[in-house]
Amino acid sequence: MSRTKTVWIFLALAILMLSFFIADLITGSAEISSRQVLSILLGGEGESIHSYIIFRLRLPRALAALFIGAGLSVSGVLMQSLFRNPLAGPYVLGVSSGASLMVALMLMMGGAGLSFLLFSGFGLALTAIIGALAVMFLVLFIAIRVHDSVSLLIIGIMIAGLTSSIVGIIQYFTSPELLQNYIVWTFGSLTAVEYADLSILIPVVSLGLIWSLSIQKSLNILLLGDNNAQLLGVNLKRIRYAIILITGLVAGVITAFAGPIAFIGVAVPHLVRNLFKTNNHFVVISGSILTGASLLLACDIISQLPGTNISLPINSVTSLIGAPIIIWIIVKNKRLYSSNF
Amino acid sequence: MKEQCYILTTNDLQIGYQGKVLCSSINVQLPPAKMVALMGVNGSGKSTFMRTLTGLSKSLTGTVKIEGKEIQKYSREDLSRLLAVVLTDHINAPEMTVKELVGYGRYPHTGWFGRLRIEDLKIVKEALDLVGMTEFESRHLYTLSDGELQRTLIARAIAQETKLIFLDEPASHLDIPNKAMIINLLKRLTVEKGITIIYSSHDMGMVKKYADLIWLFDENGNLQEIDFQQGVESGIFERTFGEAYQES
Repeated sequence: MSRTKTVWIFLALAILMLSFFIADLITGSAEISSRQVLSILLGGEGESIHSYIIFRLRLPRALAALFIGAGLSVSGVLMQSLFRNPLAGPYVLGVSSGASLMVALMLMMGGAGLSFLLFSGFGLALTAIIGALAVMFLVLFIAIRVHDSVSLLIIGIMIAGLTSSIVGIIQYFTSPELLQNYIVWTFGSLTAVEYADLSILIPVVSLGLIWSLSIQKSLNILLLGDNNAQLLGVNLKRIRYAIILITGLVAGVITAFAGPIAFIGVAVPHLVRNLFKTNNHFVVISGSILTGASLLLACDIISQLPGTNISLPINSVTSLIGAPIIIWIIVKNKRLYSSNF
Repeated sequence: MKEQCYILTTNDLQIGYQGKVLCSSINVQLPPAKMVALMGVNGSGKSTFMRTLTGLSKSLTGTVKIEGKEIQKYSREDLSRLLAVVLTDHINAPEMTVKELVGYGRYPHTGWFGRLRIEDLKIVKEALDLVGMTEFESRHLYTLSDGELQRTLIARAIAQETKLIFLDEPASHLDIPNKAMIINLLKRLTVEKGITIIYSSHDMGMVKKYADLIWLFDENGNLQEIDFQQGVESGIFERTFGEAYQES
């Protein structure tokens, strides 16, 4: 693909993301026009009720969608490169489950005496990051020994099953009130994200995105396999730890504040590779930031069910959109997916 | 001759894996610009020896030195500017083009961003010309035959511009004309560019015609450094390969 065409696609994606961001601010039970939204954002409406709705409710939700979509997609790119598995992603390989287990422990068992952490966003984020990192290390430990993609995928699913069963046991022994908190959290929600949460989420995800771009050269060489990558100067250990830390931090903090959000991490990297027809990680990571943010903003708009007062859990919408995208891409490129990705 | 004058030396090297010893007391001193054929029956230790010489596997005991410096003392980055390796590993990137793959050979010479400069692109083009893959440069890897892929991988090693190139059975997927073309090209690299080539091979005819030296894992599992004539006259080929040698 020519450089001009690549630049045009980037430009189109940036415009799409901005349009969905504005559309997300317009969408909701209270009718606020696009002109009003722009006026409120520019400080033109003082402290009106509409201004309150935009700044207190819709802007944090849209910002959360933007950063979570970008963060999950880039985590997916990194995991697919590390494991050389087209179906790798934070949700599929159990990373989100690890974070969920830790959140379940915090929400339903009062943090085993660490209740001072329970009600702070920082505490929740920290525990989810620990859970995500633990699973990433475990999956990598197994991946070094088990080389084929299907086995690794099954192991990832088993780890997710294992953490789910532990969560199930915790659920059985917990009180109905605490159980309800956890169940609502598992639906995934962008509406619960507040500015205090964003003050942790945005810097952590931004750090992850910048760090990912900084290792793009090594990620490109990793496409040639571990041996070839080493022979071309890549320090394998360092790059593996970098990927684990980035995905653990990003997927962990996202899961803590928005719950386990499925399919974005797996679907977006494929969508971007298909769009740009390249494996170059600078393009794939940058494209995934814009596409992931746009897709989650679109899912958030759909989940608001415009014209009604009902809103759907975000996780249901991402699955409804993400799963067919993956099937479509695999069927479209069956020759590529028969032995490779 | 001083140790620094040799491109590659080993001192009392013992190779193997998972505690299993394949060969001991390997002492070689290789001057630059030679073409070395690595021979031996299957399972004799050729690949393990090559992995040890390139730093992909650790030796059980002893040392490997490149230009007089122990291989472990080089960073992977520095090593990638000294030696290139053509492996038989599967490359899992079907969307990659021939030109992109050869361009990866320039990565050790690029900056943080990995962007290829005009001179890098020129070197990539020259490498593609040398292996006769210029007209395939825009083709995706999944469209290539085994032989075409092998020539592309050799072009990538050439583009890496190193003093040493290791090749694991470089001609195994090639038909007779392409086999002759590639081995002839490797010989030209040693003569014209002073590159040292170490390659594993089972092809006696090609070894006789092009190799300056043979490193042979003999019937007792020891590494012998010989030339072709010595191999025939001493009867070591016959003892190592048995009847199959006489047939070839």
